Amino acid sequence: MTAVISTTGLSVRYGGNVALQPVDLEVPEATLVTVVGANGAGKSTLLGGIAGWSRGRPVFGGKVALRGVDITSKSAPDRARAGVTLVPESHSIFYDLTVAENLGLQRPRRGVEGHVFTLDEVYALFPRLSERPGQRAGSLSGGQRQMLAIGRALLANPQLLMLDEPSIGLAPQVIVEILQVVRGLVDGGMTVLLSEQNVTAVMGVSDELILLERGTVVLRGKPDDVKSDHRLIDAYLGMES
Amino acid sequence: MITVAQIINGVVIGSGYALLALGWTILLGAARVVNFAHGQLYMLGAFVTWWVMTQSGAPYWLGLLAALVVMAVIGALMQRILLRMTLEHDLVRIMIVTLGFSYVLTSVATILFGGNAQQVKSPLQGLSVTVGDTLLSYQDILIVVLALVLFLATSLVLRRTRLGRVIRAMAEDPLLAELGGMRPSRIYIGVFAFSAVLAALAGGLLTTRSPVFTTLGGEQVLLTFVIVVLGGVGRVWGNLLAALGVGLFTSIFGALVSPAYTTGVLFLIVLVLFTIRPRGVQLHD
Ligand SMILES: Nc1ncnc2c1ncn2[C@@H]1O[C@H](COP(=O)(O)OP(=O)(O)OP(=O)(O)O)[C@@H](O)[C@H]1O
Ligand SMILES: [Mg+2]
Repeated sequence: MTAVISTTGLSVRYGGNVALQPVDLEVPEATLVTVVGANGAGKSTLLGGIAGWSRGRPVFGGKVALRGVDITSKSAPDRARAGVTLVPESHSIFYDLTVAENLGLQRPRRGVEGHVFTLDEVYALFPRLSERPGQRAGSLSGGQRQMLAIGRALLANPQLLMLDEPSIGLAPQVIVEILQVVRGLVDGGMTVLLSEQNVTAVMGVSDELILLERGTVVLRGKPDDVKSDHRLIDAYLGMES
Repeated sequence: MITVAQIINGVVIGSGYALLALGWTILLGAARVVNFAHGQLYMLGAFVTWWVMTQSGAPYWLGLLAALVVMAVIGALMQRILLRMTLEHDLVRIMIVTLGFSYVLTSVATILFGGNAQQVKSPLQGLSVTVGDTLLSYQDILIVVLALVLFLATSLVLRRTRLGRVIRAMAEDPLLAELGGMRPSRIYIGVFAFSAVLAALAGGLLTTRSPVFTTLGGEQVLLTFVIVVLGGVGRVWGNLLAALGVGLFTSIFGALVSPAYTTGVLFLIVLVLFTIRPRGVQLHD
């Protein structure tokens, strides 16, 4: 069975600085793959490369395919419309719009495969959003913002949902809560590529871990198989300090 | 003594200014584009109306309609040129390029339309009602009503429709909007065309009240700037009030003191406001 997303030699360069060395990656249907690595390792760059997106001026190399179809030449909005949905690490919602307006930005896509999320389902998933549809998104708490960002992404009916460090700045119990929701989505058939610095938090929920170091994949495998690998432990200790 | 005639005149002038300011403030709020050529779009709106009427003998309404269409296309082309800078929020280059546009448009207009002042007549000018002892023409009523209707419509679109939400989202973060499958370039081009159409509408309507020269435009941009500062960037209703205020001020101050000083005094007010109440750029209604 073809993977939902696959990259061949995907690389990203900013001017002369290579932020991501060529990566071959496959994210199979209904799995949760997590990219871990220290600050500046290239996690966001990898996710951005798949989405064809960056806040800087990147030069992309290699190929990206969605269910076997090459989407390399597509722009970021076109990839988003095709179902490659990225929730970026900072400023992932529109602060000037209300909760309901943020959720209403997405035009429902027709003729998509798999489950089509409705507004009611998103509110059921994150009841705290349903309590404040008229609130300005910029005045939400960090956890609520993350929930809104994920809710917004779900309404785009993603084939691949990419979440870039959703735990950043959140309290431990909120991190657990959000990761539980993400795991639930994957169990329901969603395909997710997550990036995290917090290795402990994602160990238990991920199907596969990918460790990045200075733009290079140095380790990958099931959490149980890699958890005692010294590179992961080193990286993980380095991240904690 | 302030007279009814001065007040009516002020409201009509203010409504014209309001039409001029509406597109400019939405463009600035939505795309962060400061368009220094907005006054030239006003001037061209008047001249294209005049030109179509004199060349083809078309009635006023057809000339005005033609001007709106032509200016929509020119506006879209201008934004096409500015696209890269707009996506990158490169304010300095945007200002230099639009300043360049203003000179290019003035030159082209002078070559095409000649150096003489021109004026057109609207069939509504002959019809009028009497308010107190002042004559109010149907054309003036049309200007006021159109301004109100267009402000109301713009406010409703921004607040109540998906297009409005997308425009406001784009104003905040065009790159994030791309991740939602939205295409900023299309919205920017649409908003610029809308802004150009409103400027042309103001020009085509007001040229029935006073003649236009191809060198016109600088004053209009400055007035727009004053109105937007007073009313708030992207604030639809604030801009309407500010435009009416500036219109009344121009009419009354011009009559009681001297028309020569109105723009100077308006800018003095802006300077004071800038000093005591600096405000950020946001798109509200
Ligand atoms: N917009 C940009 N312009 C230039 N270089 C960039 C840009 N974004 C990232 N880089 C470079 O790419 C490399 C990887 O950065 P990236 O943001 O992908 O790391 P990360 O793993 O997501 O880090 P963090 O955990 O801090 O989010 C870094 O060396 C960084 O300097
Ligand atoms: Mg990152």
